[in-house]
Amino acid sequence: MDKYKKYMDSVEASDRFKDELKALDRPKKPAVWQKYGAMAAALVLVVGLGAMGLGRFLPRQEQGGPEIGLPEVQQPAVVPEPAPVPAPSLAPSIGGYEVSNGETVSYYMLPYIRYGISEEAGIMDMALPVGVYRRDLTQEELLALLDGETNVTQHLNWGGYELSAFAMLNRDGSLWQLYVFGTKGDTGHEHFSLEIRPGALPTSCLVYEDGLANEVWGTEVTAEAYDGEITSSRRLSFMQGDYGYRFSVTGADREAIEDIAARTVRFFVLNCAPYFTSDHTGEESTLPYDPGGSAVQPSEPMETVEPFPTPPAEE
Amino acid sequence: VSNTNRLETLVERYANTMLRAAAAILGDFHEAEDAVQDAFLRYLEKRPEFRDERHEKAWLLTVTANGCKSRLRASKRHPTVQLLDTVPAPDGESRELLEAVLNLPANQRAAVHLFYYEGYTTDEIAKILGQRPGTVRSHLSRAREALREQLKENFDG
Repeated sequence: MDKYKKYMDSVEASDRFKDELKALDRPKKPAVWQKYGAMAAALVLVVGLGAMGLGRFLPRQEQGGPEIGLPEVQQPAVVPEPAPVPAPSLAPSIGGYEVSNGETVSYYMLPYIRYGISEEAGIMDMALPVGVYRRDLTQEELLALLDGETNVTQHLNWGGYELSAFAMLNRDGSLWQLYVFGTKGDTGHEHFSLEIRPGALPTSCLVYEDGLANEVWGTEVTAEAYDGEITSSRRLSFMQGDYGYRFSVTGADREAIEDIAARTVRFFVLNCAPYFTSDHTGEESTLPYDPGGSAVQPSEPMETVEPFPTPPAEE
Repeated sequence: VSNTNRLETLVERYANTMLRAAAAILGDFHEAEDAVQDAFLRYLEKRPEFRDERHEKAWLLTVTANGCKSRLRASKRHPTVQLLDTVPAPDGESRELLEAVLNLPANQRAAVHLFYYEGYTTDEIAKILGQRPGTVRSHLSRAREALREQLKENFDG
């Protein structure tokens, strides 16, 4: 390849071109709300389905859907802000976080995720299977699925977000897709969604232009990003165990949302969704080896829950 | 260091590196210039903090490679000018080799350039191109095989 090297040595930027580069100025982007109005509309559609409008299109309890014995309206769970922890001392490209139980401080390493930055995102039609219906999750159920508030605040760093969740269930009561939403503040800029689906990646109406494949401790994670003038968005998709996950987070602080995204992927990659397994046996779950160096131990015994009980047969 | 001085330093230090990588991937000198300009615009937009020069170079190459991928999708709709028409090869034998390299699929060209010209390992190339190391090794292996076949044909014929 010497000839190739010799030739490439002759490919040079001209002085004129270098001068042009040196004169570059920070680019001005088009108004993000104009460009991404369709994206926002799609998000409103999905959130709206979960928050209020789905009952108009899907069978619910009072409309002949299976009886599942839950209150109609669930109040969102408000998780308090976690106490500030010392900044990690590792390089910013890897990073991590510390959790103190009062006596000892454990350090947890976060995966380094490289995102494909998209200039554009497309909207795709999304159809729900026939017969799928919605079931809201209570605050207790949501926290139980995540194994308690400790994980939510200290490991996932969802503290301060107002959380809500619902499940889309098949006619037989099995899970079609689970949605968890978090919103923070009243600007509308800070929010996330987590979607979990058995056997496949969750469906999404947003299609990003560019994504990068990352290997996070043996799991392939597709990372997509969009940086707007006001907010940035990060989206991670991966299969782990029998479930597909998609986590999308938007906020004004790019580092903060990447931290939350990394924590979320770390949590679910390492935990293998023990609370979502279809053959949940009720045995005590244990968390697997943590490449971060410190074993993750739940702060209290795990509560065994049946996340999505099969509704009784209709008579 | 002011932002202007920082940009000037990066241009002096990496413009040629980025231009060569872009030219290798795109096969078009002018498109490569545009890709390099886009990469520097992305730098100005993000203003990332670099750990060291190696990180700095890898980041700029990654952004350049990503930009090239987008341009390749667009170039399917637009004819491009061959790199060799803009920057001629010194002799006939070199031209045959370069034509053979430029005839490889873009992902193989990228791997070949970063491996043979920039001297990156396959793991490093995987990070720059956002691919698995095994995929990069596969690209390199297929590229070698294709070059061997193509050059053999040319010499035999």
